[in-house]
Amino acid sequence: MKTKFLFIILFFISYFFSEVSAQENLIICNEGIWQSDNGRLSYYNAQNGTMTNDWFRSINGIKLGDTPNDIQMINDTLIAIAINWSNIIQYIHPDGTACGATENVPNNRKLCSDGKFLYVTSYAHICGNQTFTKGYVAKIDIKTKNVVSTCEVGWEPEGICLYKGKLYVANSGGYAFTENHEYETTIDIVDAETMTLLRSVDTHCINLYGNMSQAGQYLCVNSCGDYYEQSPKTIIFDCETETYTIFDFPSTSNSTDGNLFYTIGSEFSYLTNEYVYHIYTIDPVTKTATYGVYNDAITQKITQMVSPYDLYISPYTNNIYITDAKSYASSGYIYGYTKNGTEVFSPQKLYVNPAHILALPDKTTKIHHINNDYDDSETVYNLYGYKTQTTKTGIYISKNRKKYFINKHN
Amino acid sequence: MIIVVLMSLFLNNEVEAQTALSDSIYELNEVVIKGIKTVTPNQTISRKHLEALPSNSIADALKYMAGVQIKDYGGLGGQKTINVRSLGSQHVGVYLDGVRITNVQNGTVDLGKFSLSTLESVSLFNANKAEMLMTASEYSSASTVYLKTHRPDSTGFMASYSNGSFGTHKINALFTYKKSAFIDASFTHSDGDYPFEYHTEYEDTIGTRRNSDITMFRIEGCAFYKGWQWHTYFFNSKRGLPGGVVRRLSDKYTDVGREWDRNFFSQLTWREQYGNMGLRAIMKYTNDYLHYRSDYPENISAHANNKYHQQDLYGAAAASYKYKDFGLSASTDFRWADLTNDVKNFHYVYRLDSKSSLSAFYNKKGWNINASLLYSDISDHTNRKGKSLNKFTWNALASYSFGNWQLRSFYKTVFRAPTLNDLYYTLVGNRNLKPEYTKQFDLGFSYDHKWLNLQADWYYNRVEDRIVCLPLKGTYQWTMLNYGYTRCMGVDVTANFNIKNHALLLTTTYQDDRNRTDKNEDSYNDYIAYSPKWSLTAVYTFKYKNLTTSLSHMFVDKRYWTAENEIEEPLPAYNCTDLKIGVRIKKKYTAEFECQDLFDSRYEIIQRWPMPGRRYAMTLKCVL
Repeated sequence: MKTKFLFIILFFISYFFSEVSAQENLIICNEGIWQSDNGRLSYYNAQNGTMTNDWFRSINGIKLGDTPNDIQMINDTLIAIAINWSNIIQYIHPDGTACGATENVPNNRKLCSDGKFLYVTSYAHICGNQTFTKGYVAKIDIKTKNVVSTCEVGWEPEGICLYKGKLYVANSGGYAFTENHEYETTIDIVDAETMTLLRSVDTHCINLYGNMSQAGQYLCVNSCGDYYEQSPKTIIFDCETETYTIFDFPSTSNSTDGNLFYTIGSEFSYLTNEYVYHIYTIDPVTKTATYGVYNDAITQKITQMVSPYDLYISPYTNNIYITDAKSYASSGYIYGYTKNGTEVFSPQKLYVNPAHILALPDKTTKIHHINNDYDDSETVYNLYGYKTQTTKTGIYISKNRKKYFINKHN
Repeated sequence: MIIVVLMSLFLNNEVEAQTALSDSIYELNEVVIKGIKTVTPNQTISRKHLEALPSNSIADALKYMAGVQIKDYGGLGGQKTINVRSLGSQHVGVYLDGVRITNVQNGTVDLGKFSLSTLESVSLFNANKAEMLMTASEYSSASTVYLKTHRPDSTGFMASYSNGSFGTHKINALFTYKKSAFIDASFTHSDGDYPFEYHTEYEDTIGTRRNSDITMFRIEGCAFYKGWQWHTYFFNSKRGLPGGVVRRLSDKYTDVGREWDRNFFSQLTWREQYGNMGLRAIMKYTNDYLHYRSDYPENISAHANNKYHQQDLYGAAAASYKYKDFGLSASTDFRWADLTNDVKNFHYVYRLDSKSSLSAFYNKKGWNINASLLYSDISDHTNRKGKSLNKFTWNALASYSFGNWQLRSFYKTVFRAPTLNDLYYTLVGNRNLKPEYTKQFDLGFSYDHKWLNLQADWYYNRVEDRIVCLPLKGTYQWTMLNYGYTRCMGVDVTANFNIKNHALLLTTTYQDDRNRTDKNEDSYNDYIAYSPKWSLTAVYTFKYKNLTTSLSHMFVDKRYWTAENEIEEPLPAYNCTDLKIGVRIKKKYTAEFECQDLFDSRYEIIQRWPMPGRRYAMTLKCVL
């Protein structure tokens, strides 16, 4: 009797703590070393507070592959990982078990999804039997995991985001140093339904390389410059008006809480051989940038890192996670803070070159409750982590919980 | 224990050949080199033993020496370089008849390009030789490999054909004119496409190494007249460059790179002794061309098509004077090297490199002391050039001999200058690089007996300001940086036994090679990647009448391949056994059978670059 009572108390205590600290499980892609076949997934189990650095391989008994580039939640049971040098898109369940792979998009780069289809950018000029002069976007049906259509875009397309049925693709032209073309400056707009190129918007900034984050109608795009005469920039792109604002600093790594963009930019010039670091928060509505992210302590922490490698804001908790790749040859570390600056966990040791973080909504497979009486201002996310509105009846994520929302306006 | 076999590598002193081993399969009589009791640790494999080794290039001979690690990307076409005492391959100078083989673009010499068939001997000296009349360049590397060209003793013609595994064909022809000249030509083709396997906890991979073919042609000739020697060499090859083996679902999408190489050099050397005075002069012109292509429709990665053209003009003069127990040797040399290429943003560059050395010798009652000073002045001329370098470095060597014993010690400090790629390559080069320094200290002994030669050395060395390629902080772009300090402590032991028809060489290498870069790093004090703690080799030869049998074995301990050791399982230790049997028929003909990696042990030297496993070759030779 006594023990039963104790268990009930313990249950409530643990439930209380998990609610308060708002911890979440994380998946981190470790890129490893190119051509060493040592890409790895790390998994942070918030319940136990443990980090596993051989998650995928210990569950599946196979290696992940060479240089994982991006990780994307497709729906609450499916996650896609673009493994660049293995020419594979690997699918896993949130518990880490492998469930298929797509081979036909070699040299794949970045991913986005609407829950039914997965869109992938590729540097290659081949996709199954199709060939392309420049790069392309492939549309993969999640049910069959086959490429159903493609669309040729610019040279070496990188970041890709979906907004109101259109794909926004940032072209880098990153092979310009060796290939017979220049760096790209365009964002291509592709109709996701028909996979046709609608138009290109010239940003006049070269080499649109790296991660691209999306806050509603706004995109944050990094322009690397050429490391010589052309300095790096940050472009805030408005998908509604197809206009953009340029900031004079790079956002090598960027993420968003749904409203603001948080960026770490590293500027290097071969002419001066010097680095300049930029840490900024950008408001895409007012088009202003302020120094620092979240607060001084976190900003200070980033400046102290050896090699900040990725910055990620959890869409569910707004926790900030930053990886430090250290010497790029030994283990990197991850630092996590809540918005007010408290540590989510003590710095966790990862594997080599950790980047591309994905937060998992807590207890992804369980619906917490049905909600038909709620405040419209409540922040909700769709199942692949994008901030959304509850305009349709369905499952959403709110306050780190999965809930069924019945649209009361209908 | 390793039971092993094969032929004899004579270390240190070149002992007079055993009767049973005196035959040369080529029937070209040996020129017996007079033994030089040198001060520094050194190992030599002479001509007759080179012939008994199953080998394709000088890398196959060097791998049996103590303190040597071979870097081999697998297959006949895979690049082969050596690393001595963990100092790094760019600190090993390779010298053909005392003239350094250079590559101003990347600083490494691919040993696969040089044949053993024209050589008198292959020697490795830690630090440098301690001889009079050395050129300044001979002092400028941390370890030195000497290739000595064979001077023919008879007039004749030899032709051979060899057929081996993975579609390998080799045709060789040699014409010799007694004491004065030879011309040696060979054509080799190999399909590659060898099988490989990986079986570990996380994978079961069976595959074929595609795009590992090579076709190469080499012709070289050398003329000798008194103190003059004129050597001309031409090499041409085309090869596939397979990448590391990574997880793929099929062979459908590939990354294809191909390379064409053309190397030419002509060198004229002269040396003469006038009583107590010695004079030496060298002239050399080198012309190297490299073409790399990856712009094939099926290639899924960057499509490149670049040509690199290097020229190198070298002149050296040295003089020595001996007075009683003292000797003095001075040398100066000058090198002009340029690089033309069509890589974007990589401008034409030429380098002026001049070196001068002054060396003093003292030799009395068993004492042998040598101290040298080297001055290097290197400047580049290009768009936005790096700072010029001018540095003094020095070394001191000493030995004391008594009875059959010799005690010896040396200290040497020397640097390697950043290569033109390190400094100027588009998007990677860094003009602010400092030279990479090595410091070596060695203490050892050797012992000679009628049938035994034994030597052992303990050493301690440091590499400072290592030149490495690292990603720029967060910019996804890599660049060259001075980053890292390593220190290596080790022991090299070699033992040679020569009893009647049998010859046996045993070597043991122990090394403790650690990262001492930054105490705050997780990899601090970890073992350096690819530095095994132990490696053992054994080579045994037995000769009876017309039959020569040789068996050689290598054991290499586990090797970590990540800078931080604990995060990955090391590459497992491996054993590799080679066998070669030669039979001479009716004086004119020789048939040779060889099998490399007899027990088909699947191993890698570089992680994800598998070696070919067991392979056979059959060779027929005919002498006219």
